[in-house]
Amino acid sequence: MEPFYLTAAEFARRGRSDFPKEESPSHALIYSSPATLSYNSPGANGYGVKRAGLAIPESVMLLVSPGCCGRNSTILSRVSGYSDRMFYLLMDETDLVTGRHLKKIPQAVREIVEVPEKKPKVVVICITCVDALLGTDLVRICKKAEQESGVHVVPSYMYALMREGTKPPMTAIRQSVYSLLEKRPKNPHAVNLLGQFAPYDDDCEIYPMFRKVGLTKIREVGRMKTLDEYLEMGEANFNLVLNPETRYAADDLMERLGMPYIEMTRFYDPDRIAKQYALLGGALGVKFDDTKWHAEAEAALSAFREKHPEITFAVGQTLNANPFELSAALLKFGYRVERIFANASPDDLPFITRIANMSPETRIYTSISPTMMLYKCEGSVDITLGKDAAYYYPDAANVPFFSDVQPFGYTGLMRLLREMEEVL
Amino acid sequence: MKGLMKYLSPFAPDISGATEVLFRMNGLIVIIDAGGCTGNVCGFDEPRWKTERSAIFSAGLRDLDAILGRDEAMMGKIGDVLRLMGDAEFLALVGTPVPSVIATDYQALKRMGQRRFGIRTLTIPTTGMELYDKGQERAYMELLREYIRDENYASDGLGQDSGENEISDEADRICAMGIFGATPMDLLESDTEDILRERVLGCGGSDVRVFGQDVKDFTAAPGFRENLVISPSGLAPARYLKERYGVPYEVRYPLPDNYSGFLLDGMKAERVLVVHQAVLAETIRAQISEAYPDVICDTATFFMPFGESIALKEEDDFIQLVSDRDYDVIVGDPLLERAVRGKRFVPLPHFAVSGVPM
Repeated sequence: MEPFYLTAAEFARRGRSDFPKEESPSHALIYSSPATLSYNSPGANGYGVKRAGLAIPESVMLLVSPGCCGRNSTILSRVSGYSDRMFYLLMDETDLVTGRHLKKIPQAVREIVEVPEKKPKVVVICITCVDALLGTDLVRICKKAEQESGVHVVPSYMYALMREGTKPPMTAIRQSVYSLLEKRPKNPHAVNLLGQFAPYDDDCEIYPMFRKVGLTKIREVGRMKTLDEYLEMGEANFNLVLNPETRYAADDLMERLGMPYIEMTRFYDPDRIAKQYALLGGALGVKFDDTKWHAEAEAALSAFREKHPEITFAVGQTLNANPFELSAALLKFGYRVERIFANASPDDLPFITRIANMSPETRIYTSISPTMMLYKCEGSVDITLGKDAAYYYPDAANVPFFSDVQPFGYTGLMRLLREMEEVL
Repeated sequence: MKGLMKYLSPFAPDISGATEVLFRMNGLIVIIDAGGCTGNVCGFDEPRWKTERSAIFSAGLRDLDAILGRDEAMMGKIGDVLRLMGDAEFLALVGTPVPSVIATDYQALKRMGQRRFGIRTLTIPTTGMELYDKGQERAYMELLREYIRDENYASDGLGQDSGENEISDEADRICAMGIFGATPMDLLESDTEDILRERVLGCGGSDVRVFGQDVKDFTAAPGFRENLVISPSGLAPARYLKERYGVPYEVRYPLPDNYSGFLLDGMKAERVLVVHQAVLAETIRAQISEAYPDVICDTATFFMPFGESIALKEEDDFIQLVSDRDYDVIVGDPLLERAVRGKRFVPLPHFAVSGVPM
């Protein structure tokens, strides 16, 4: 028996109306392999809910949960340097029945703010699945804790049970992260880049291009060192949403602070990048001059193709890209994409259709499918893109392309080319 | 404050301990969670997961599954995977906080599994709120109850033996020693199950079986000549086998030669505290006391107590103990040092505490 896969052609043919049920996590048990670790535990690679909550400057987190929910923080907080910012209030079975753990939160907040050498200004309280089922009103508890402790107390929710709902954990935490912003007088020169918890690459063209059209105050939570700096994000004229998981937070900011937003997608195809900047400029009533970066990216791509005219790829989903968009771009560059290991959603169909047009036989596997336990590595590829793809082709060169600091636009493509060059 | 951790972080939970015991025995292991618990167990608490394949699955529960108690749907998905595996040795259902909240009926799940799939179904009602050794203990006991069904030890057919099956003729025993409690969570950083087995064999053992490598060992356990318990999670199953089948057991960790000398390495100390799983800590204490008669050595543990080890329930208990007794040297996992900074610390990594070597 073979693991479940569809060729790009089959996938495209089935379309939205016959979208494969195997892509839905609720269809089957979820297979746990090193390639699916990021699915089950988003914090294992990069930012999960806990680390993301700490993106608020001068904050600490109190995780109120059974011990098991905080276990991965033991390792991650040490690796990422968050040890001094994570605190835990562990629940027992009596707490489940009586809810008494909730009464302890204000006192716990008072105690933990006294621990760090420099007193934190924000405490993020994070609760988990059990409190979702108990119907805990965390907002009320946070208000009480805030009154008693004199620091900001922010509610956040790591409800894995709701990951396919309207507000999954990584969506909810983005709302929490921006929840302290308050309405300030609008600054027409200010824009917030929403989407990630770490900044975009310093050399990303967005910064100089935006400055040139008068957007001189470009703020991202990942660059804010103090709470005061973070609060200045409240003066933005608009938000630029660079990750769809931030849409909910952007809606909240629009409702609370009257701050509109525009959404952009991360592309690796230079033509699409150019088109998107033109559309953004149109929406803002300005013209972005991306000529320099577009030309540099095309030149870098040409040089790379000349040096490496034939490469076969396998693409995973634990990387800083939409695996289907990236695969379509690689095919357009003239390369071969043998396999894609990713969970597709109906929103990916336009990219899958493009893949099907260029490479109908490309196989699309679903890593969390139980059938993947039958997967046997066969054939070979030259490069695997994504940490998870390395699991399926352990002998191939791997480009994880999965950093906290985010690639975007033309410079994102150039960085990808550089990282591939390093392993070839 | 009870339950508040200001310096330390959560230790390996019971879910991880149970899964670790089951990991190598070709069963279908289903963790009844939304995904995060499985991620934690596999990604952080099971070092073998990165190099060995085991059929570990998350039930992928969603809010309505939990609220409506859709056990039927879960069993349907389990059936699909069992058909894929073809030769699964057992089905193990491992609990998490979610089934605790909704009061899942594990007995009903066991019966459903057995009747619907005709496969041994183990249910481990872990909660994510207890520690790894409790989960290991539950898994060992469930395996013994399920697998000691051979007619030689006539049971009542429901996994509950009658308790009248002690082997009368010692010659009928197979010359095997079983080891309970030997998982990556409990072992010295430099040890593996295989190294440990070799060390025991080197000390004059014969056939040495580490429980958790092969289900057949659980079936054969009543006929073993003796058991060795190397961590407290093995005490309950070893007692069970002694009381029911007369298998004697010994409790000690087979340390490498002169391990206490390696740990203290010429250090001048009057009062030493060893913090680890209690059997290892007590074995080290015995060695220190023998090698350094002038040294006062105590042991303490956050996990199941054994011997004279001091039970630590909270982080505050540890801080208080170290402050009250003014130890010169603390031997323990490096993560613990955060709670008692300024003390002379000798690293003795405990995977259930820090997860990975620091």
